[in-house]
Amino acid sequence: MSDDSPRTVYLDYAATTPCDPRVVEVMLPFFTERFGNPNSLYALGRDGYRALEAARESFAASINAASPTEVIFTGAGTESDNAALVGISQAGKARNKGSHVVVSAFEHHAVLEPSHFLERNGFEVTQVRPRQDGIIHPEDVEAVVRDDTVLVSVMHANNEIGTVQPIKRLAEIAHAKDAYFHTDAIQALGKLAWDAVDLGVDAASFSAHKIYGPKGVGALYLKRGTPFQPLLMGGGQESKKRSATQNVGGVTAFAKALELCDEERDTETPRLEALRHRVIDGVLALPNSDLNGARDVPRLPGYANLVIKGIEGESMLLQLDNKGIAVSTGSACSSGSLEPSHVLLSIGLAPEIAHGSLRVTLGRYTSEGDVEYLLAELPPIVERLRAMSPVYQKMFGSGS
Amino acid sequence: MARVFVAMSGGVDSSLAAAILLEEGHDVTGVTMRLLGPEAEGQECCSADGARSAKRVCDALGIAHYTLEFTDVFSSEVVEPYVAEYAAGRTPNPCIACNDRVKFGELWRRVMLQGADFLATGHYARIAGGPDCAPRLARAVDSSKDQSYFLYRMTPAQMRHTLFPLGGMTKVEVRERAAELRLPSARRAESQDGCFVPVGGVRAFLRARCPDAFRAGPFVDGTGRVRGRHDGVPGITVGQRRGLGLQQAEGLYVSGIVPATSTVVLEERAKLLKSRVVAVDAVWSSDAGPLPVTVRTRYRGPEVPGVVRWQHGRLSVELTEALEAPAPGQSLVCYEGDTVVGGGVIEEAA
Repeated sequence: MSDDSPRTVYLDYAATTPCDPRVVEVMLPFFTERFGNPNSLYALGRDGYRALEAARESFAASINAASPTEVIFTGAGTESDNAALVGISQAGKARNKGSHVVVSAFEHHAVLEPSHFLERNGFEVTQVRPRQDGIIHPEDVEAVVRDDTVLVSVMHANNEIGTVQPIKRLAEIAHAKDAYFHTDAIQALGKLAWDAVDLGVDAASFSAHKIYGPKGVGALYLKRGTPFQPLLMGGGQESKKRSATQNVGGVTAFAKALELCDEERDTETPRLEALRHRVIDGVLALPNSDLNGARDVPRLPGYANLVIKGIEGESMLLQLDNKGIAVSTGSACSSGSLEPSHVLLSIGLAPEIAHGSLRVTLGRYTSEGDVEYLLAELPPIVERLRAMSPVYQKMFGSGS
Repeated sequence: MARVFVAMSGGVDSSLAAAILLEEGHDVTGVTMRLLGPEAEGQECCSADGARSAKRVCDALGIAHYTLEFTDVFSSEVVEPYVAEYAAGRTPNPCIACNDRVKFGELWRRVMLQGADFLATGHYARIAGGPDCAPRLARAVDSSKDQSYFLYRMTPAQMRHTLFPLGGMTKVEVRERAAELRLPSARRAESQDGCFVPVGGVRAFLRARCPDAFRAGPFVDGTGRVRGRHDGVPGITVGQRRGLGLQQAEGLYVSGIVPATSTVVLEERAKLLKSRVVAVDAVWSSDAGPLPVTVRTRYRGPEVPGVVRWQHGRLSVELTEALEAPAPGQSLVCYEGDTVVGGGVIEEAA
């Protein structure tokens, strides 16, 4: 298998995205001539500070934050999630808000791991399972929030199946018990019109590299008055909520990337939805295949997660890679792992079925030709793997 | 040109195997098995370091590399049986189990699923035989490096789709080629206890995994006299002399283990010599015999002539030269000249 395949088709936009050249352009000067530390008082520093605050204002306006100070720039989406879970829970507990935390079972590991950390440090954590449709149902959250609940965290859109959660209603449920509400909006940002006031959340996590910005740049929306204890301590940057010299070029790029998504969303959404339907229909044309999550629930426009029964996702992935096609099974962070995805298990898939999952996520540079290339290359691979699979023969008899 | 997946540990042998195949014009992909969970990080072999090093080699060669998860199968097919065998007072050979069940079992299957023509490894062994006759496993050209003992369970089907690029090379050639290609030269010390056992810690490893099998018992000599006490049989091996913690048993070796009573029997060296060995769970590629062969009962042990008979999955060998302390659980491997005719797991020796 050589790395210089004749064609490269990238269909894994949920894992990361290429930087938009327009984003790269605004970022470049900050590596060289505009390198000043935004916290320095001389002209170069002031220039950096202006750029930093311009990015913050632009970002805050896009997400409809009440004030730019509610936007804290971080070094990654994972950092934002960690900071929110640990920082709000611990500070909330210190304010006698109780020590019970609620998270959904299909959160990203960036939320689940800090929830386990909290469990080891005196908190009680309840996981709410999504239903088979891929949605966290409000009544299921209502059933577990308590008077001593300090924080509820449910992701806005799931990174593996793309289903969009009823965040506004979930935030109301948390608030009815005086708990704070955080959402991991890393996959949702840019793809949905994101409005902090309308959603009513207290905190939200974002990441630049999912929306055609650079890697290593994140943001945390933290509504004024939300208790918070910083993860990073030092020089007191970001209103003492995240010490470290700010990545001025990175956040400038992040703001630009978000601006471009906002501008193009109305045309991009229907285009991606049409391509996604083509992917879903094309894959479902294979016998014994299924869509994960219900088809009629809200879903990010470019996201499709399917199971192709009786094969191992890994074998399929390696062969697609050999054809130059980049897709994933499970989430990218755990690639190389044969552990069935916790997301697919949480929506009720049996482990042997979850092994055959295929996540296709489309984005700005996906063309119709890319989708057709996938749909042409996939069926013979599936057919061959099934012919060689004792599991498939046992489940469905011969033939594919 | 064939499509070849090379099992790469990150060490010099498998790296060289990949480089040679690439030079021969094959379509080569590197693959590293992740065998141990995160709790074992930092151990000598099979670690994330190995995968990183393999990836670096593949990057340098300009070929794709995958790290694949094998922790479950390695645990159930190698580590657990290893513990169970020791708990039963036997001496397992985890490398043979790993080759049989993991490398040429699950990995071979997954590589064939990729539509590959061959799985290649850095083993020192050869596959003999042309397209007309069934392939046979044969010794490496360099007998000091030969690993055919570990591979005796390979089936003809596996051999048809397996390459051992180093099997025909001498130690000197390997060293020269590796230097030429500037491959990483560091090589882990060969372990007798399996790559997953922390160095020097077999007993501690077993104690954590089969505490119930650690029942104190006596060391008894051939006359029935108690010569000392031990705290459990797991990890004690037939033929062992050192490390038993015995002060007054000069010249005595472990000759037998009775797990039911937790008794370890000690004898003088001469009593350990055996001329008849029975092996079960055997693989065999010749007729029932009697067939004159040479046999080995441990990897680095001596090779002696004998006559073997095959019957219902059992091999019995009458040795013309007695062998010292064949240990139940180790493998008996039979050679006809340079080719492996079969072998099995030693059940008893007399």
